[in-house]
Amino acid sequence: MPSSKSEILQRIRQANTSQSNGVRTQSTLIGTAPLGKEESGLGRDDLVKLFIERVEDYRSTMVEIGTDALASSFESVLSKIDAPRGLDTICVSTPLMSLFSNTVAGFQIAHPDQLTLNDYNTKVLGTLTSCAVGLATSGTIIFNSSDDEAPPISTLVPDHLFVVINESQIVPDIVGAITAHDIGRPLTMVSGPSATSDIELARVEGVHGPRNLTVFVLRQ
Amino acid sequence: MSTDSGRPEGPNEGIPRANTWLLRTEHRDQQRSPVSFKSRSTREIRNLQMRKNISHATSTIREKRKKVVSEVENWEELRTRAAQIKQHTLSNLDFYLEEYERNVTEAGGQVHWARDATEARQIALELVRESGAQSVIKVKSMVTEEIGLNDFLVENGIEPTETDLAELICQLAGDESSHILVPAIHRNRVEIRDIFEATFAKKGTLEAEPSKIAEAARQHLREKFLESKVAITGGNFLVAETGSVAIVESEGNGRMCLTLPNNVISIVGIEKLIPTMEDLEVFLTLLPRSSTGERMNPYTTIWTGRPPAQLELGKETPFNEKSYHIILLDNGRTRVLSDEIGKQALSCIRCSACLNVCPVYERVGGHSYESVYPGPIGAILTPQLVGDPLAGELAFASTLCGACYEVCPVKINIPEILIHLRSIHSDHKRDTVLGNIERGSFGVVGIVMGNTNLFNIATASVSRILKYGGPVLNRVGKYLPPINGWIESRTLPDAPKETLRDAYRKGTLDALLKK
Repeated sequence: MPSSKSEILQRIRQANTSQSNGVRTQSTLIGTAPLGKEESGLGRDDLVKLFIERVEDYRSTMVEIGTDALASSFESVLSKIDAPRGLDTICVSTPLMSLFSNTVAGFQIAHPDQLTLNDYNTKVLGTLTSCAVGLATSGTIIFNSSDDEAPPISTLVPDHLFVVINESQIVPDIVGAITAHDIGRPLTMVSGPSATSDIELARVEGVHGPRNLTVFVLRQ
Repeated sequence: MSTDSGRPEGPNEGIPRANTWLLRTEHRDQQRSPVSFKSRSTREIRNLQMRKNISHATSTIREKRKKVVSEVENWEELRTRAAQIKQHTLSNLDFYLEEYERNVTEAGGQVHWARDATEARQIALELVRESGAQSVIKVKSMVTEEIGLNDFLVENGIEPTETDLAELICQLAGDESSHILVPAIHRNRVEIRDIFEATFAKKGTLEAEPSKIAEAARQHLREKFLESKVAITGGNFLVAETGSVAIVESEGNGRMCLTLPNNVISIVGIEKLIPTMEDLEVFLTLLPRSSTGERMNPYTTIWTGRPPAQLELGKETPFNEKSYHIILLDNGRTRVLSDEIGKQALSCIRCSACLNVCPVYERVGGHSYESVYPGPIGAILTPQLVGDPLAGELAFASTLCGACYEVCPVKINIPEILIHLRSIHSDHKRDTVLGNIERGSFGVVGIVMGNTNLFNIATASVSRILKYGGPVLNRVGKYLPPINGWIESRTLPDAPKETLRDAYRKGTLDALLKK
């Protein structure tokens, strides 16, 4: 008996050659028609503006600050959050650790290496991390699982996600944004908080992922 | 009769057992004969709650879609390109599947091939057993529904839990899904609250508010996410050049399933292949805008060989306790591929835009189709996947208005395929009594319309028949085959005083038209 694989491949070959237009172009890919986009002509300021507008559209909080104001700005954002009891820890990705001493706004600072799966569920209020790219057109943040980022689990399980993005990391749209990365590591694209519209199509934020997304855009 | 899985044989003899899963329970139950689309839709159309919900959902998504599509300057160009990519891939599917297998394997995943639903279910079950798990968590997946995976796992002692909110509602209520994107849209908030209270939530504790219900689901499922050893997923796109999988979702349940359990099994139809990452960028522009009417869906995960499970970054689980398996499923897809017109249906990316614009779907709802894939796409995909002339009836569940073709992000010419399937369906009943009557009648119509004198006589007598016979036929016509099918839901019009042609000849046409 032929293997399932060879039988399926055989069926495919039979289907494709029995058709009159079955010209086999095995190695030729389709011509790469450019994906024209009006946003590509935008200047830096307009691009950042569009990015902020589009991420905000997903009911996220946007904070536009100078590069040296991150620590103080983060502290002021945190101090406004009414954290449930027991959630006393903030997970911070490696390059951002140096910005803080042991605590910020009364929360313990922890590096991902110090945290277990259970910690993310029971102790961590939120995660502060850098990211790889921001897409202006769709208001999307891409994580590429680099060592500079907090791990996927830390951006998923806690209820708050705080992302830091440099204005230079913002690109017009998705074209070229995925292909630019090492595909050996998972890519995670995030557009706003976790959401569902499954009940009467009413949008509810925060089903399984973070209910709140705050993005700090660092301007030069 | 039963198959090796112990399930009863469906009513459609000669059809491979596996494919009958595509058709819903009524069809599967051998005690009852297949129920027609007509009788199902007649029943469903009276369900006012369902119609209200569906019409609200479809009109809302339609408007959102329109807005975000109009923002993309080169939308038409993108659609054309997406259609080209899909057609190219399908024409070279053997090549891309083998390329994909090589790359996944190299990246640490394991590839399995399944000819049909039976084989796919069996492979999945064995993989779950290998992991030692008694339960699995699932990401919403059309293909696992297509192969009836959940029931099969339950029969074999494995407990599956759907983690998408709508799928969870359907699973707990024992409902069939009624929409590709929002499967529980036929239920309202009070019904859903009651379903939760009847299953896992304490009675009287839950408010019938979407945010409260979603919170209850979050609490209920979080434990499962943290405990589960195995997740089963579908896949939106498979990228051949890298061996990557992309999963597009909103709630974060997909990310939970891909990030927490140590073992992930994906079951994906072979038509989900695309050649390159560049192509993925095209589809990620088209899919969310067409599907939920958002510029981008909240979460997309793209991984190669190994999902973003803890191991990559944390240190809790040793590497050899992790696994990634992908099952590539045929289940009728190669049959569709061999039909030159029908194979376009394999380009479908399951966005459900065609459901939201369909005037038929909006009124009869998803359950009328009695198919895992409802709406216009179901009407062309299900009959072909099943290869069953009975299911071919679905091709008639359309007005051929073409709205579905216009919104399809991969330009599937749905009306063209519907007509093609109708002709196949008609060929099948060529030698039945009804088929002969139908063919004979159209033969007569052909002769009459081809001859001026006969045509004049006919039109004159129609108006006389209507005048005297109309009222009678309106009363008794529903008992008279073959016109009963028409008369049942319609009333014959009053007879006009004169025909259009008579009026033209007498020069009274203007007066007639003014009326």
